[in-house]
Amino acid sequence: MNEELKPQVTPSAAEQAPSERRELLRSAALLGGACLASILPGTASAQGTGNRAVPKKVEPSDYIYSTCLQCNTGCEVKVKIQDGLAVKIDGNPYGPRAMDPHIDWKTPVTQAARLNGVICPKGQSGIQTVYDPYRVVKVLKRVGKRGEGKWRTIDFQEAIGEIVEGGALFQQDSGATVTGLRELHALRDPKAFAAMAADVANVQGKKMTVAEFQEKYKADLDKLIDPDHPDFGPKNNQFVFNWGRLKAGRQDFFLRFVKDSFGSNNAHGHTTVCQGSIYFAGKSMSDQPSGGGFTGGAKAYWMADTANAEFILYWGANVLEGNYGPPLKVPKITRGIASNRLKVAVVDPRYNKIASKAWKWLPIKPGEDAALAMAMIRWIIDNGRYDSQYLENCNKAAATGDGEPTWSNAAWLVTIRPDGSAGAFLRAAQAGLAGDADTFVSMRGDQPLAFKSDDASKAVEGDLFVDTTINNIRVKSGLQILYEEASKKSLYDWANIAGLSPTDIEALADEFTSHGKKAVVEIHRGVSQHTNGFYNVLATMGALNTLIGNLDWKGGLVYGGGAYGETGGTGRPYQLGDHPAKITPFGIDIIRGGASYEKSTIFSGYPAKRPWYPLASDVYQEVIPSAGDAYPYPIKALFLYQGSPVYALPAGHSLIPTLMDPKKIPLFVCSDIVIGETSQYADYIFPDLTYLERWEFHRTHPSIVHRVSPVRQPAIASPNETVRVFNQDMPVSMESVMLAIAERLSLRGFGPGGFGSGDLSRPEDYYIRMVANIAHGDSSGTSDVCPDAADEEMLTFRNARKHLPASMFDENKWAAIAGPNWWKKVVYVLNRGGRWWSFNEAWNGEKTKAQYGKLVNLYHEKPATTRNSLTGAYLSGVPTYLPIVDALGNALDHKAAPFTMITSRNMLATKSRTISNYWLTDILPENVIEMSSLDARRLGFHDGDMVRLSSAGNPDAQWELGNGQTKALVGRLKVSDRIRNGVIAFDLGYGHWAYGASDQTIDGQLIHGDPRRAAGIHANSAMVVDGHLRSPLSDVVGGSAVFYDTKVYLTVV
Amino acid sequence: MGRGSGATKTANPTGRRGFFQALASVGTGTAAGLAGLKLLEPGEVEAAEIPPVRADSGGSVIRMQQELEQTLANNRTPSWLMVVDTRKCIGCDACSVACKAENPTGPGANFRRVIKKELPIGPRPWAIYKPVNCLQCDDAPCAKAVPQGMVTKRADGIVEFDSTRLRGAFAQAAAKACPLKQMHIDDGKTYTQSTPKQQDYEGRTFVENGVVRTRKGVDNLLADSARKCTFCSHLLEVGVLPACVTTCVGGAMYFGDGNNSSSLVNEITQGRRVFKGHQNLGLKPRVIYFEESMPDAPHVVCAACHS
Repeated sequence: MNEELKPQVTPSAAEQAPSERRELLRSAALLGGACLASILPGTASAQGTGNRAVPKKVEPSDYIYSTCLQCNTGCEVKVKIQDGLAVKIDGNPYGPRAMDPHIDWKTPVTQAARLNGVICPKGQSGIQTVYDPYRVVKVLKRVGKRGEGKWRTIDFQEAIGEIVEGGALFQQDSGATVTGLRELHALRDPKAFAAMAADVANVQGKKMTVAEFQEKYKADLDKLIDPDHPDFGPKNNQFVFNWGRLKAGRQDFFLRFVKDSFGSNNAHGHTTVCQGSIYFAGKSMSDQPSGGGFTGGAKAYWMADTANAEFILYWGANVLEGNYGPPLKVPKITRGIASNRLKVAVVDPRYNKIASKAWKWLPIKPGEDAALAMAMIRWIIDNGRYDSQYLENCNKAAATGDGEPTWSNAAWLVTIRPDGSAGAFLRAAQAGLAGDADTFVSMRGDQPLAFKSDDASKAVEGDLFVDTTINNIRVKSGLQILYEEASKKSLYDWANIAGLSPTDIEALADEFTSHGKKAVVEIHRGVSQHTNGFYNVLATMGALNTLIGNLDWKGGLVYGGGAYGETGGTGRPYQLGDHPAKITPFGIDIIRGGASYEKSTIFSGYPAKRPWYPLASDVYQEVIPSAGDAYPYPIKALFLYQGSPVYALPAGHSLIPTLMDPKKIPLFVCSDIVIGETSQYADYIFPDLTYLERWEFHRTHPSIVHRVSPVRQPAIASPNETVRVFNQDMPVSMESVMLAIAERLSLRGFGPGGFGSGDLSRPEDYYIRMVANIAHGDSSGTSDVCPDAADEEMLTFRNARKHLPASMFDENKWAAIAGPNWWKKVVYVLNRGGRWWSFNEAWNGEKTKAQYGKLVNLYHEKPATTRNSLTGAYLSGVPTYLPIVDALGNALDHKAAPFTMITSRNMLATKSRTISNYWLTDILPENVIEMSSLDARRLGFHDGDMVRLSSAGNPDAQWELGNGQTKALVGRLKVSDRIRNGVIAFDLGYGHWAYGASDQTIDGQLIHGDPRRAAGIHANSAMVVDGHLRSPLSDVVGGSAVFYDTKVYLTVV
Repeated sequence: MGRGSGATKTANPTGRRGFFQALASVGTGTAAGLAGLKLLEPGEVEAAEIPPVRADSGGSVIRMQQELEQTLANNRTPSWLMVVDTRKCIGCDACSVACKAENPTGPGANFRRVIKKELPIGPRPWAIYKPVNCLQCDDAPCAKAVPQGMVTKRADGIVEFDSTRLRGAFAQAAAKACPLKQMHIDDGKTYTQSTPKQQDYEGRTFVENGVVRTRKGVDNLLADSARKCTFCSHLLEVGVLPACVTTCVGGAMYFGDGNNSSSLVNEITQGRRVFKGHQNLGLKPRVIYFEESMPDAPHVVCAACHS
């Protein structure tokens, strides 16, 4: 029993001398209430005895401040430690996500210890993600077939040796030989990479023939994947690193290994399973003119300034349960609505929770979002409700003149092709005006005007509706093209497509344009995870917001305050990119991200074998299927980190045959905390650290107007085995795997001298330096450098970590890494769980302090001049309505299945990784299939019925898991009025068959699964498998994996 | 006032006013309600210092924390009240889980639940969310159902159990007497007892009703004992607000001293229509629910269920 919690006899307040009590209180006020315990009159008098247990007083050192990862919001948390265990997680009141408004960052930790912030139920339950009886704590190697559930534990270094050296590693695979990483680390000289990369560009640009390339590099041809296709790059690219949830810091570390040191171009995230088409539409919106094209856009997007908006249209965004994220946004929404500051409307086929507080709920037909957007755009333009002053500004100078931080290309002239479609922008030279390839043209009256977008001195405006001919070139203004697109149908016809009432749409458009710049269309997955996702996003987040010019305004559309540059930069103490022999990998990557099919050496007409993604990257659903098709080339090794594509992706079952086939993926290594739905197919599973045991830098999100750098740091001891790498002890983790491989391969950039002048032999060598950079603050000057932790805070820091083993916390080591000038500042940051702006700092008058401050594209030249790799047609440059189609552009055949199936987010679950949280499943033991009462009455279904869910692609209504195993698609029906007729929904996160739900055998010992984890239904395997791709349906422009475009049958079991 | 005291200048660089000075920098015009809050010394008068709460300012948790510390510092008997602005509840269950973690309960047990009602009224559906826990009745039916002393009404209003005695048949009788069924008879079980490894955190010690308890091994005496919401009295004692209050995602929860005329709980209930259903049951509850609806959701009112 905890010594400190043993019953103590304390004198009641009444028994103390008044002066003594007063003294006690004074110190309480000073030291953070350390002695408040016994003075509560109610407590003392009620019991009538002094003999009662007194709760332990609250000490600042009871807590370690860190960052949640139960979902990707990354709320700032404080983890309460008792007897070395995490027992309670609260919101960190210093944190902008977890307190509304958050307390000042410089508040002494002694004074903040008793104050708790907001955290959601999943955040509370993180304790059970960490203390999970099914955690993997030693390295596992399969002894059966892939996915058979038979493992043995293997020594860490022995496993690393096998992976690096390869060979006949699996007796049960008939002696098949595995290529080790040593052989894949074929090209090693950074200079050779640079030279070859330049000439591959020449080959793709037809400035060099393949034969000339082969002649020039004949000594190194054996290091290429295919000498006839040098644009595939070196064999290094056959090592593929793929991740699910990964944030900064760890990501920088991992990419350093995969790219800078190993030299593989194949490092791919999971963005498209979440909201890829939002990110890549945002990238297109933020591309800037350069060198005659458009480039440099950020993979990012925009959200509302929730604390100040007057009207927010939540569109496919379940903002009370997900959507980055409840603790940050919900308090600002509820107090805003309750005080009449904020009005909200909801567009969603399902009545999600925000609809219960909303002015209007518009239950749109799934996938018809652009039809509603077009209707609103048409109404807004027809009624003159757009911000013409904003839209007429063609460049920075004009915008600045109006006090506008941003400007659009609404008045820029676009060339029209003979077929009437819009192409590239008109350049000045085409109009007979002076200027380079980045000089554009607008029309003012009859006068063409030349301008450069970022010209800050010569203001140019233009007419908004232009359709004319200049030098025999047909041109239209950007807004004219958008208006014509929206005018293709009447508002009534658009409403009919969207399945909504025209009156509601008019009211919505009216309301949206009645709040100046304090109105926002905020979207999320419901808009983007369709085959037409990219254009839905451009029409909603893009066009609608741009029409009212709300970008960068207080209460408007915000880009987020960003994060402090933890990797270094001017003035900051440590440059984490320093590397003694940094490689810049080259070659087409396995998902063909950002790559041009037409320029490649394997161009062979349309359709391409698999889609190319010139406008996207991190296309999760392409990694494993591309390996399966060996397109553009076969891979040799796949490392998967904290990801479960089989569970998380729509139609994830289509990946299983590839994962099970050692010919297609000869080596499959997973880093995981459990045996999950995907890692169960691995050859080796390396245990990873959970989020409460490790470092990471969660950074920010567009929804956060403050600059924020929350730090994830070890809060508890890891149960993982301790391993030794570079003469350092550490718990096994993804970092330790990379360090061990680097040590064995003598990769530059790791170990002694890994930074050139500094060592990179253990994770803290990297992460403590990052914290020092955050402590430095803004890159310029020293005015933003944080204070030293006072002696009292140093003591708090030390005492809070008494329970951590030396392999995870060694103060002397950490202090040495930080250096004497920075160590106490590092502690200052760690004691608060990170660093951020004070609450008020986020706004300057009527604008946000952090500004996007650039051109935002309303018309998109890059897509307009890019071809779809499957149909060969040009993509649209204007936000447009597109029907739901497959990869080849054909309508989907659902074989008369009656229900469109969508997924929903429940606050109590995060996709693949919270089923271990018994506090959550205790409240909601299973999910349900939600159906409208009208549909249920029509079919004779009843609330609570068990129903079987099938589709044209999955008539057997099951998961095919391989090795003869299946899981039936059966779930419980919930009949409600909270969903559109003809649509059904299920919450993601339930219906597991691994992650502790299945039996596994380790070292001959059978470990039984927990049936609680198998409850409910995960219906992704009913979702459409694309006929051409034989993998999940995709938005082949923006990359989104498609969740919401499948129709299904239901039958009562 | 002792605000200028330099007593702690050596202890922290911003001085003893740091915490609440810091708060003064929080907030725009709308959040000005936070400015000037400060930690009081014992005996200080608190009334005039706290500005009125502003509905759209946030910061209520900080103010409640401040009031709690004042109450403790002033050594006065509080009269604890919990106020729920049901309009702001989003039915997320953060409070339920916070309660499970703070007051270790086993499978199926919860001192705090959120009722979620879906109402097909009017042209579109409505949903209403209402968190419930022990009302800490001033005239508690549970107390009358068992021998005197097993259930105590504390001076601060909290209904406290003698956990060592309120067991077995007594516990059953007390539970049966509660018209809202807010009492729980613990079964001593853990969430992970049927898994490969029972987890240590489930066996942590905790203080409840002045008694140290655990769900671990031979010291696990929880089975058969009656338990319920204590307003987290073990936290109040050490100057921490109840777990359900601080974690509330919607900002629907208020907690404070009804004896303090200027407290937030008194201020926000002034002139508000509150739910009378519990009084109508003959209870004198210390958990008060607003009866108002959100501006654009007029049907979402208590009467929708309590007609």
